[in-house]
Amino acid sequence: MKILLVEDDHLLGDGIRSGLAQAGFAVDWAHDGREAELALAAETYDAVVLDLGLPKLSGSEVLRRARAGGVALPVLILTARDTVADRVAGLDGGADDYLVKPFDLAELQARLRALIRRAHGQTAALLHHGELELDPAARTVRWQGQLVALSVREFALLHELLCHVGCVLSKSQIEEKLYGWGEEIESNAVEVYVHHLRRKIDPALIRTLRGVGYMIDKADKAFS
Amino acid sequence: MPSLRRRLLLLLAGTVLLGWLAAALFSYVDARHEIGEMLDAQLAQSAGLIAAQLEHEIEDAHESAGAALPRLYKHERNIAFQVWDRDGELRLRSTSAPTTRLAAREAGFDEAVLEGQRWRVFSRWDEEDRYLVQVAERYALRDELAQNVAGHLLHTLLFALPILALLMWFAVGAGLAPLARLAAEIGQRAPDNLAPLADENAPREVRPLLASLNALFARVRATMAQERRFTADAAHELRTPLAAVKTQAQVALGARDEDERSRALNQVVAGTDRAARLVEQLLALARLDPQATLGPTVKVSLRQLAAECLAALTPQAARKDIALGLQAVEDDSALVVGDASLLAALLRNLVDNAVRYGPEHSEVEVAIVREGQAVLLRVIDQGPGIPADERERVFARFYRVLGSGEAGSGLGLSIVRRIADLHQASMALDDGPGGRGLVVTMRFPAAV
Repeated sequence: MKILLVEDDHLLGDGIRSGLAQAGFAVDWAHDGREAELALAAETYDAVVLDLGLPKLSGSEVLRRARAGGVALPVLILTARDTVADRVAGLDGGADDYLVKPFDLAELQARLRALIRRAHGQTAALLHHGELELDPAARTVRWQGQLVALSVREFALLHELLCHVGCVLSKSQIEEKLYGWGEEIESNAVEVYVHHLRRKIDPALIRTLRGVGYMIDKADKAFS
Repeated sequence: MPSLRRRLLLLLAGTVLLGWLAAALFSYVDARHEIGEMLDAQLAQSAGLIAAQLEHEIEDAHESAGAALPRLYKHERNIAFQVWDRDGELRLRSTSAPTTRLAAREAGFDEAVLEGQRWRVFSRWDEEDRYLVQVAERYALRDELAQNVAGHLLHTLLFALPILALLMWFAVGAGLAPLARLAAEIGQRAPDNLAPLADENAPREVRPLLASLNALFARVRATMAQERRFTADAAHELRTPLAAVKTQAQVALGARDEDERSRALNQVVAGTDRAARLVEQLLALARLDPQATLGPTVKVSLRQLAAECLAALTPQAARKDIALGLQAVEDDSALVVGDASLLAALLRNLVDNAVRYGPEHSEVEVAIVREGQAVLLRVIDQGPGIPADERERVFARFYRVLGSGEAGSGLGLSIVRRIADLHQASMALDDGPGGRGLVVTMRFPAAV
């Protein structure tokens, strides 16, 4: 899951980035409104964490422009203003959720998971696929009822594929989802993670479409 | 408590009383004059009647010369007449008349004093010039009649005044109703309702009061709005460092290794420092804000203050390898009048900013120069400077220069300006030497 964090405050931004990384999110951190606009135009994200008080281009303006430009992804706003009017203005301005500073890191993580789940049309908190069960909040995976130990990236990759069952994700799409800006990407990392997942869960779980990407088949066709 | 209504009532009642008394006096004088003319005419007429009837009267009474006629009516004692013949003999008189001549004059009006009373006398000869008729009337009668007229007026006043006073009480009350309405409107206001009072229907006399009240309301409103804005801004500004501290603390709690934990904990410390600094600055401003003028002032040497300030900030500068320098005139020339602790805060903010925004291995210089009757304080850094179009705005509270990458409170220059204002010092921001960095110049009036 990849999040665009838009926050001008160094300490807070740093904390949110670390906190979201702990929850398995890949984070791109934009420090002002302009940078946020460029990032939204250039990459695809699962959600945006947007501070409203931004230099150069205010958070609400970034949001307004993004919505006007057809960006549909979930946006959670961070605001220091907690009056009802401020919150209403934020939600009516196109935000999906908001948190008032200072907030709880766990709540931010949970709200982001919920937003992403809803955006993917899922209502249940757990993802099921045949005998596979993924809990995004607890960050656990069970295969045939048994816990499977996965690294952060392996979990993120599995989560990503399960969110797009039946769709092919290219290697670059996956890399984008797994890594934030400035993070070193080893050239064959995705192949390695796919290999690990197949070994730890089921060799037939992830299908490779040579030259195109990877996918998990729809449940009825799975493991045939 | 002085009452406008009572005051108006007393004034009105007094005026009415005075007017009424004047009217009574005038009526008395006027009545006396009119009555005098009327009675004079009557007197002449009576003399005529007597003269016309003399023939047989004299015959009837001729056996008793100078005999008095019986009293006829109540005013008779005020009236007298005499009839004299050519021989100077009194032929006829009323009981009230003396036996001596009433008046020496033989025609027209005259005055006489009889038994201490003043009399009005009219004299004439009859048609045949045989008898002199003298008719007299006491002045007291005239006075009495005139006094009656005036007395009636005063009498009426005695009854009318209380009634009038009562009516005036209500009339004054009705007249003061707009004031009472205004008082009620203000009295019923919610304490936070500072909207201006409507004055389109207000009487002309009340308008200046309304205008002053509305001006006061506007001032209080502005002050309150400023306070509210400042409090809201302050709360808003504190939320971000608090959020940062909380987030970093939770990152530390969830850290998977020691490196991550200690890094996050260091960030917690940094965030706490920042919040503490912000609180300090807020308190400084809160203390400065209500201060219209300086308290007790002394002569302060800016050179000495600058030296102390630079010494205090040396460790901070050393961490960034910034060299601090002081170029100053002698103490005698660097004296200004002011509050030493505030001036120290001003210097600390300026030098702290310079160190904060200056790059590593750079220099920060404080220069103190004497220029005529002014002492100039300059703080020169080699930081990013402030774009010309932002130089006015940096004094606004919580304003930060974008992209500076430094987490200041946004209050430092607000504090500096406030202290400068209190010391009648002007302030200018310019590019540093070679268009690099920032020069803050403060011009203080030199102490004499």
